[in-house]
Amino acid sequence: MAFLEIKDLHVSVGNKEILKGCSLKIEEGEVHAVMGPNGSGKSTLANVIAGNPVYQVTKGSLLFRGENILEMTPDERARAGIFMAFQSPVELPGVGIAQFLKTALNEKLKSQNKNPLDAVQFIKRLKTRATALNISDEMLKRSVNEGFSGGEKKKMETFQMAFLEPDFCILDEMDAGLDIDALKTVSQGINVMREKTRSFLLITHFQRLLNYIEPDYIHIMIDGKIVHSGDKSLAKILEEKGYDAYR
Amino acid sequence: MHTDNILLIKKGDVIEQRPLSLSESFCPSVITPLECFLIVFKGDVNVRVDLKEEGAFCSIKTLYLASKTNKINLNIQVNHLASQTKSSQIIKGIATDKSKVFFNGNIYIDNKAQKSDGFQNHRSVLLSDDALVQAVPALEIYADDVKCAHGSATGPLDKNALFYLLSRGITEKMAKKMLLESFIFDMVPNEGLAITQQWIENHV
Repeated sequence: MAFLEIKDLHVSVGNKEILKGCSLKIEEGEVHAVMGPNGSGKSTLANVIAGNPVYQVTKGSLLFRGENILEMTPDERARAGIFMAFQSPVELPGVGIAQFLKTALNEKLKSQNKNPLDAVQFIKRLKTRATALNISDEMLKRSVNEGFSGGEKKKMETFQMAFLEPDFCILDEMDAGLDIDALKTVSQGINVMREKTRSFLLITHFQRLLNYIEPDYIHIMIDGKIVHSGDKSLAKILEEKGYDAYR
Repeated sequence: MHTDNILLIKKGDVIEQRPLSLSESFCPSVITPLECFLIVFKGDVNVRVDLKEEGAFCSIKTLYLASKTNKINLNIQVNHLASQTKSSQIIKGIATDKSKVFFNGNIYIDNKAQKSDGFQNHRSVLLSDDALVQAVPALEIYADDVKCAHGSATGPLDKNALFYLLSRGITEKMAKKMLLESFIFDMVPNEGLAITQQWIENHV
């Protein structure tokens, strides 16, 4: 049984078909990168796995640890261990970061019939993860993403991921809008989470991110399909030849 | 469940609570400005404020919570009748089930009320397709040196915000609760929190 298995997935928004028979298999502990030009369907793939209701699956299957997740709501998928770091995280004025993360973690623990964290355990976990990503106490007191810069939002997504410890991490355009220092911090945050039991799906246009997070496999997506797969050396070839060679 | 309309009104340093009557009228002065908070569940509510003294001020915050087949007729009339008077109205609401809300908010600025400042903002969230909110804000201005602003927005909960919360493993009920609480909590005084929270808990 594969960790994640996508077979012949067709996905539409309204009347427009975006994924046109996408297949992908990810095993436990692997890091996969999906690269492709703008509009090829990469972010759609990420959102469909997370369960964004904007996208309608018209055909195909999506199995996570052998379970058909297309029948699960987004929150059920998250509690089952799937996490997506958003390309453009929303701002939630009035929803404090600590309250948000505490609710998310405790809902997950509750679904596993475990006890919620008490205040001391929670603060300890929050502070440890925040320190590792250079997130200040002042920032933790703010509302979720409210007034954050693009770089701060991406850092916050990584922080939420580190805090919630999901089994499957989807990172949608994590490198977009990051300066080199922020990219290093975020990549470090991701790299320390690499484990035998945790898998990653990185969505990116650029090879740049893959200099910091080395994937096991790279897939090229063109027009809603994965047209070519290979190991990390594929990134170099793409950098030189561009996507045209695969169209 | 408590469903009588409530008026919370600031008297000196304390906040007094009493049932809101069908018609309320106030005439605040410089020394005793009007600061009040209304929670409306159903029925007719008519509020009239006359700012007759130079420099008088009023702040009216209104929260309506409409459910079932309840109907709310909310009329707020603020009259600026002297110079340098100032009014602020913040109206927020949540409508669910088959409830109907009609809101009329008038700011009248008399020609004697130069250098006055009137502000009104209305925002509401619809939790059901069958709920209706109709807002008619109106400005009537007869002075030429005044500041006056109004705005109104009505719609369902933000889909992107909801998906973001769900994607972190938060249940739909809890996510809606968090979004609604964050929508109104900046305007609700401590005295009104428990009843508001209870209403949200019962209606998401």
